[in-house]
This record gives sequence, C-alpha cells and structure tokens, in this order.
Amino acid sequence: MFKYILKRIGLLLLTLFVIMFMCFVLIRMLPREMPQRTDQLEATLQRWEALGYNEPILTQWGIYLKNIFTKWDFGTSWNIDYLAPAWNVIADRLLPTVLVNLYSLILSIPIGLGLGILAAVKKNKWPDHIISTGIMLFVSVPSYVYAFLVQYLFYFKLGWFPLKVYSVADAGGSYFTAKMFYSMIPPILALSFGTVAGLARFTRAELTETLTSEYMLLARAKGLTRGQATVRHAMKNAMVPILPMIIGEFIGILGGSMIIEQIFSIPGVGQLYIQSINTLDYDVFMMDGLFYTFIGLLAGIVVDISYGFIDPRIRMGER
Amino acid sequence: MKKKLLCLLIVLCLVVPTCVALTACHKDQGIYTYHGYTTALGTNWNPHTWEMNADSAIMEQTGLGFVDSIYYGEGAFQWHYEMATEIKDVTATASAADKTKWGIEDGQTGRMWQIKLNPNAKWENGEAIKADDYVWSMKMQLSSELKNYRANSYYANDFEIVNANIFYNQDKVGQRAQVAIANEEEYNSLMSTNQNVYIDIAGAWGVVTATGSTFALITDETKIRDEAVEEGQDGDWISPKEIYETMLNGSSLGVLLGNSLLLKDGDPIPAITFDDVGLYKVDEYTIMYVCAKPVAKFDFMVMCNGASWLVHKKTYEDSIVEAAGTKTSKYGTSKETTMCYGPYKMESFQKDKQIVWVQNENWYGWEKERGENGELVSYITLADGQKHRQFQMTKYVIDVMTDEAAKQAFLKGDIDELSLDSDDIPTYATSDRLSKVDETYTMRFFFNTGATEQLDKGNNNKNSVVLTNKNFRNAFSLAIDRSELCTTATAGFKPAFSMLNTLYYYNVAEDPTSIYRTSEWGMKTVVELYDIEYGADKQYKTLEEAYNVVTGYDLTKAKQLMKTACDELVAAGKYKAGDPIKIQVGFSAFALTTTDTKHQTLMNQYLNAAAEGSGFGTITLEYVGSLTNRYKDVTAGNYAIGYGAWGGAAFYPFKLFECYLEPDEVTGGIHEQGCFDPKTEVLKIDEFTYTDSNGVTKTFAGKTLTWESWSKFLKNASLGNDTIDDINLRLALLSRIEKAYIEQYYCVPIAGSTIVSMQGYRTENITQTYNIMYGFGGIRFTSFNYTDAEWAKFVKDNAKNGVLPY
Repeated sequence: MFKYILKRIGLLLLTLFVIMFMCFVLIRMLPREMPQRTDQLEATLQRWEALGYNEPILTQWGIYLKNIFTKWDFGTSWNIDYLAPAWNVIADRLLPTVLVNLYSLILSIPIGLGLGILAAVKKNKWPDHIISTGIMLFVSVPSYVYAFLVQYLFYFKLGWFPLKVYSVADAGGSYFTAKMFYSMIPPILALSFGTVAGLARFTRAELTETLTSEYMLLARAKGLTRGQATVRHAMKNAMVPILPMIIGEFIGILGGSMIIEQIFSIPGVGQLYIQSINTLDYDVFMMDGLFYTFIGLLAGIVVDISYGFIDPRIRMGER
Repeated sequence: MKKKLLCLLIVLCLVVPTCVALTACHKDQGIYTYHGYTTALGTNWNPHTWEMNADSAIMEQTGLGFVDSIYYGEGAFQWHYEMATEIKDVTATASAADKTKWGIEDGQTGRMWQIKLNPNAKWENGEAIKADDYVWSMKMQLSSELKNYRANSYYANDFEIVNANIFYNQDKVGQRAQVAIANEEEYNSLMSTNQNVYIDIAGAWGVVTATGSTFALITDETKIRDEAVEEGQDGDWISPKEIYETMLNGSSLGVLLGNSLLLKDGDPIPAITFDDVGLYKVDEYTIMYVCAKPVAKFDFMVMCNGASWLVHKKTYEDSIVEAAGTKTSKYGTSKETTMCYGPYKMESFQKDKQIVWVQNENWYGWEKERGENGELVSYITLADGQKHRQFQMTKYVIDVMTDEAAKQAFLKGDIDELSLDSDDIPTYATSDRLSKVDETYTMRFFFNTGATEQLDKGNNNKNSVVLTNKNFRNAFSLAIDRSELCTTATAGFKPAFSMLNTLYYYNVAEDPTSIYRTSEWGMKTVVELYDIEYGADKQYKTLEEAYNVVTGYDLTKAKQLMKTACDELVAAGKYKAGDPIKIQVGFSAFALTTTDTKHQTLMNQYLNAAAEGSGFGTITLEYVGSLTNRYKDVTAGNYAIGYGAWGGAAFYPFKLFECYLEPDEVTGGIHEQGCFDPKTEVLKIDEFTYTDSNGVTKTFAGKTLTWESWSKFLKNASLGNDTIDDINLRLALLSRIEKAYIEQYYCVPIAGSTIVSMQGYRTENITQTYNIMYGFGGIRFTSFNYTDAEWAKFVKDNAKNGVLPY
C-alpha cells in the first residue's frame, strides 16, 4: 500500500509538472496589448525585461521553476492584486470558495443520500418516480442555470435572500458570521442541486442492487426487519462506491463554482481564474492552475486509496 | 445515539444561523448612503503607478485637486479652488536667476506657475499638508529608482517640468541620450566620420527592441519581431538596418530628418539633484511648477483639476517593496496603504468585492456644526448667490456585481444607478430617470484599401477589391441609415456624420461655448459633405437649418455611385459583374454580441439595397470579434475593414488629427497607414475667405502640404515661417481638413458613442444638461430625496411586486 501511494504521488507530481508546463506555454502565447504611448511602453518593457518575459519560453519556464524551488517564489500579481505575491493572492481568496463549497457539501450529502435511499426503498412507487424525475432534471441542467434562477427567485421575486454574498465589512468583519452564512445560502443552494441529484441517483442505483442481493434475503430470513437489513447490510455495502464519489463531488463543485462565484460576487479562487486569463496576470494564473490541478490530482489519489479503507477486501497496487 | 446527535448537530449548523440572520433587524443610521456598482474594482490607485480606468476611479475619490471645475449655474462652470487658494502665472516676474536656471526667454508666459496651497488641507489622520509634501511626492514620482509608470505625465508631454526628464534618468548618468540629427550636413558629417547614427524604430516602424529601446543603430542587424505582421509573413521579423534602408528608399533622407527619425549621441546625462528640477517649495504653503514649455492658463487649470501627484510620505515609504528588479511602492493598493485628503476617506476595501467611503472628518470643507443625524455638512455659494449643500452623501458603497445582477438590484432599490445596454434602452426610453451622456468618440468603419487583392487570397474575403474604388466607399457611406442603425443596433449611440461631435471646443479658455461642431465652419463641413444646399432661394434658408436635416442617408445617390463604381471596376478588369462580394470586418475586441449581429444584418441590408441593379453581386460583411488589436490587424492587411472609435482631446480639437496623420506620434503607426501615406501624400486646400476674431473679412491664399504637415500646422499653429495668427483661421482650416479627410472615404463615421444610464429615485443631479466640465454636477452636487430610512419606506410603499416602476 505504501509503495502504491508513493508511486501515485510520483505520478501526481509528473502529471502536475506536465500540466503546469502546458499552462505556462499557453498563457504566454496569448497576445499582450502594449501601451500606445512610447514613454509608457518603455516602462512596461523594462518591467517585462526584468521579469524575463523577453526570454525564450523554455528559459522563462526555467526561471519560474528556479524561483519556486530556490526561493519558494511563485511570482507576483501585476494586475489583479498589484504587487502581491501570487501565493498570497490565492490564499486570500481561498476561504470564501472553500466555505461555500463545504456548506454546499454538508447540505447535499444528507439530502442526496436520503433521497437516494428513499427512492431505492420505494422503487417503482410514486416517491421513486418523483425523486427520479427530479434527479433527471437537476443532473441535466448546469449549476449556473440554477444560480440565475435562485438569484431571480429568492432575491428578485421573493426578497428572501440578498442578491449576492455580503462583503466581510457588511457581514460584521468575518466570514464566520450568521449574516455571512445567510448571504451564502443562494450560492450554496445553486451548487447543491446538482450534487444532491448526483448523489441520490448513485445511491438509488447502488442500494437497489444490494437490496436485491441474495444476502439480503438471508438477512431477512434470519429475522431482521426490512429496515434493519437495509441499514445494517445493504447500506454498508452500497456505501463502498458512494463514499469515494462524495470526495469526488467536493472537487467537482470547487471547479463548478467558477461561474457561481461571478454570479454571486464571491471573491474566490474560481473567479480569480477567469480574471487572471482576462488580465494576463501570468503568475496568478499559474498559481490558480496549480491549485486546481493539484486538488484534482490529489482527489484522484484520495478516492482510490479510500476504497481500501472503506472495504478492506480491496487491495491497492497488489497483484 | 451518536448518529442522532450528529444529525441534530448538522441541522442546527444549517438552521440556527439562518434564523439568526433572518431576524437581524436593519439598523438605520439616519444617513445618506449612495449605492453604486462596478463589474471590476481597481487594484492600484497610487497616483504614481495607476494603469487602468478602474484604478483612476478610486484614485479620484482619495482627494481633490488644486482646483475643481464645478457647476456654476445652468451651462456655466467655475474653477473652484480646493487644495490651492491661488494658481498664478508668474513667468513675467521671474528673476534673472530664475530665467537663467529654468531657461525662460524674455517675453515668455505660462512657464512658471505659482501654486498657493490651502493651509487648511489635512490628511485623513489630521496631519497638515504643506509644500514639502508636494515636493517630496514629486521627487518620488520622478524617482529613477522607482521608475513609476505615470512619471511620464511630468517628465514628458504638455506639462513637462524643467529637468524632470534628466532627474528621471539619473540611473543613466554619463550615458548619452539620443537627440535628433538637425540636418543633412550634420548627417553626412556623422556618416563620414563613422560616428553613431541611430534610427527611431518606434517612430519609423512601430517596433521596439527586445530590451524596450525605441531606437537602434542603423547598422544593427538584430532582428526584431514586428507584431503588426503575422508570423510567417514577409517582414514579421525586421532589423533596424532594414528599417533604415526601407525608409530611406521609400521616403527620402529629408523626410527622415524632418521627422526626427535619425538620431545621434547627445551630451551625456548630467548628475543633478531634485533642487535642479522645476518643482520646488517657495514657502510653507507655496510651490512653484516650472513647465519646460509654455502652457496656457486654461490647460494648466485642467491639469490641476483632479487628484494630483500627492502621496503621504510615511505610508508611501512603508509601502516600498522590490519587484521585477526595481523598487516600487504598494501605496494605494489597500486601505492600510491609502491616505485620503478629500471629503471622503476609505472605510473598507475588499478586493474584487467592495469599497466603502465615508465622510472624512478632517476635510477642511465641513461646517463646524454637524447635521441633525450627526453627519458632516458643507455648503457652497453659486452664481445665484445662494448657499447650496455639497457632498450631501455620507457614505458611498461600491459593490462588484455583474450587469445582470445590477439590473435586479436597481429595480429593487438596492443600488442607485444602472448602466443600460442596447436591449434595455427601449424599455426605459420614456423614463425621466434615463440620461444619455455623449462621449467624444465617433465609431466608424475604416478601410485598408491597399491590401484588398492580397486579402482575397489568404482569407475568406471575396472581391474585397471593390473597396479600392472611391465611389464604392462613398456609396457605402450614403447607404447607411444611421438613425435606424443606432436605434436598433447600438447602446443608445447617436448618428454621426463627421469625425468630431459636439463635445469639441476650439477656444474654451476664452469662450466656454465655442463648440466646433455647431460653429459656422463646423456645420459647413457637414452640409457640404452631404450636399445639402441652403440659401434664400433654397429649401433650407440658413446653414443651421441645412445642418439640422443631415441624416447621412441618401439611397438614390448611393445607388448611382454603386453603379458608377461597378462600371469602373469592371472596365478596369478588377471585378466581374454579378460576382458575390464578401468582406470580413475586424469589428470588436470582444466576442460578438446579439447587438453586433443586428449591426451586421442591418449593414448588409443597407449595402445590398444600394447595390441593387448596380451590377454588383450580393454584398456580405462578416463581422469578426475577439480581436486583440483590430487597428493593427487592418494596418497589417489582415482585414480590409475595421470598426472602432475615433476621439481625442475635447479642449483641443486641432490636435486630433495627430494620431491619424502623424505616424511618429503613435507606437505601431496608424491604421490608415495601410492605404495612404500621410507623410508623402499631399492635400491642397483652396483659397477661401473667413472672418477673423476681430470681425474683419480675410482671405486664406490656399496651400499644398503633406497630410502630416497639415496636422502639424494645425496643431502648433505654425510651420516653419508660416503661422496661423487667428483662432478663426485655425477653426476654418480644421473644418477644411476634416472635410477633405472624410471625402477620401478611407473611414466612414457611423455613430457617436454615448453612455446611457438610469438614475434611481433616491438622488437628483443639480442639472439635467450634461456639461463636459462637470458632467451633471458630480458627487459634489448629488442631492438626496430620501434618507436611508425614508428610502426603505419609499421602496416598500411604491414597489409593485417588489419592483420599482421606472
């Protein structure tokens, strides 16, 4: 297992390196607009020269890596957060993104599992039909569509929630206030619909399969009630593929929140990604890319390893 | 049991905070809060380094300028002193020592400006602002160590300070700055003695070296990437030597020298201190600003209007960091690195989210007595002799949100302003809360007729050669129903029939109503261009009547011209009658919107209506968006047609043609370069009579100059020994050049850009008539109809289904 984890980490680093190199080259291939005035152009070009932007791309890549490994310097933001280290730019914006996604996950898991279980237990009855129809609807439509709908319905029509997530100042000086949580409810809902539907669908499918297994018959024959058999035996087995999926969902909603963050004015890392491309803030783009790529790759490893912990019969990396 | 507890905990986590927040009551402070919005907040409002408009918007809130141009009765403006108490041109009284030191010639004016500072001005922390602060701030602004992005405002351009350029280049002491070679004799001497001769590659070719240098030795064979040429095409990489040789063959040595494109080593940059720079302290509350060249009073006052170079010394010094190999200051990048000195100070700033301004209790303009709710109040006396409330707003909140979100917030009464796009304008067209503000920009199509045959080979164009025919281009212009186009396919823009709209003032210093467009010469240009006759025996009796009926649309004439164009092109063997024509248009820097598509559809309808029966096949314009630099693309021949804005200095229309007729003034050249060379092509302006500013009728004898020289002549009011000694002659020449320029039909004016916005019921402007000097009065004169509490009640009482009726 240990060897397997080391191998996966090695592959993670290699993949990360390749993806980052591709990002590095691609962002630098985008054309840069230069100041029209000759004197301002001179100042800009001097900065570019100092930053090594006039070197061949491979040399620039070398400088970039050297700064990271020798000085832990991931570069500087020149547009989005003037002169701030790229690392800080990400760190400053990480909390709102993580909070919204975490709240969304906390909301989605019990509801998704609950609906999935109910649909499986009441298979081919009206609760199942209603849930399955809802699942199809919410799985098919992207989350930003819900975002617009949630905003329109809960703010514009009903006036229950604010238009956007409050600023720290408006929320009382912190992200951890009731007021801030209240303002986060619309994006949480928008992010949750898809997750709830995905979890419910998966749970229903897995549980339906286990409920029809022979060992369930045996359990009932032993005298367990339907509920006892479902919770103690069917659920336990059904959770083997469901738990890794929950981990995957967390990563999925991190990525999906890019547009949600724009709609609800959440100053998070998703919005930052779009901004960094629009403003050609190279180092911020690379830092954000590094964040997303690393999280994505790490999630893959965590999901794979978690199988072994959830079900000891599954052995990783063994022939 | 444990599971039940966990479930309960999760439910509590989700429900309790929601309930708490829902029950949190709205506390009203009895204040006037203005809620604005933006789609992107600035990130760097340091007056020395700001780059974007969003940065400048924040910077302008941090403090007032020496003076402010304010509303002073309907249509009138006044220079109102703020951070200064007096600004005076003292050049005439300069001492002999000053004259020598600053190089002031006898009889000069507008060189030495004495600025008496407001002794009551303070920083938001209560520290007094004195002459030393301004001097130190300028020293930082021009520091060669900091190399500030905005230093060029003071070491170059119109308000250059004496010796500022040398001080800015103190990191290059001993190095030789390059200066223009004066004449052919000097050039020959340098060449024969093998001395260094350089070419200004930025001016000549629009390129710079890899290290950012704008000039290089004429023998230098190092290849430089020319971004204007697509990679892989001829000329995509070019050396200074090749530029020099091409320019020499294409033009002449005289042209190169005349345009200061050939340079030699000048004197070494001397070591100086800031004492040698023309910005110094006279006394505790007086500074002297010594300009490198004469500046008119009005222009200097305009420069003094708005936030200056002033920075807070300690905050600035504490913010200095090292980045990209140089030192720079993070001043003005957060609340902590900002020090305000105007009526408002920054209360909070959250990146990409929100900025909040509140009243600055240390601003000198507040009354001693506070208002009923404890708010600070201020008054100003205007032309009517009455005291008017100013800066009534007690808090200013700017939130970042999308345009779609802003629309909802506005209708719910949560924000007090809204910018409209074209789709929304019909909805609110009759609202009395809608306002249209003209901008100085004219949107127009511009053509690169020189590359059309080439274009058909490498692109999707077909028969774009038709653009080489002047009659076709003229028909193109007359075929457009600008009124319909603007209404249907723009964000409330106004039809444009000429290059300059009504925001250009030819003599604003002497006459604030001197609008070029509505002057006799301005109107004459338009009326002549569109062949509208006027006179006692004509349909339109006066010039003004004739001007007012111009639409720019004449389908009958457009059809005639199309027919003539087709016949000429067929006869010349350039076009086969009936062949379809397809031309791509470099239309926008952004992805095409539905409005752009409407624009394209209408343009195709117009052109095909005019081409009907002319012999031309179907004409299709295909708009292309997401272009990084469509101006360069057209110049480089990647597109035969471009679409973009034309605009310039509203108070100095004579300078407007500089960007379009003087290639040396603009990095990368100008977009018309692709089809005509203003350096060599000539314009003859025929004899005409005019009435000079004394009312005497005079005759201009007529003259032939290159287009570039006309621009220089108009801009500087002199060329060699020729001078334009009267403002009315200058006005007349501007009119003749504008007319001649449009008559080439290398560009076709379409629409004057406007900003259309809605103002909430909560606030009022002091005037409904937009004035370029103060807009609608600005924040200073924005008055509030409701306090925060009253506004909440108003929204509750007046909203229909939760939405305010606009």
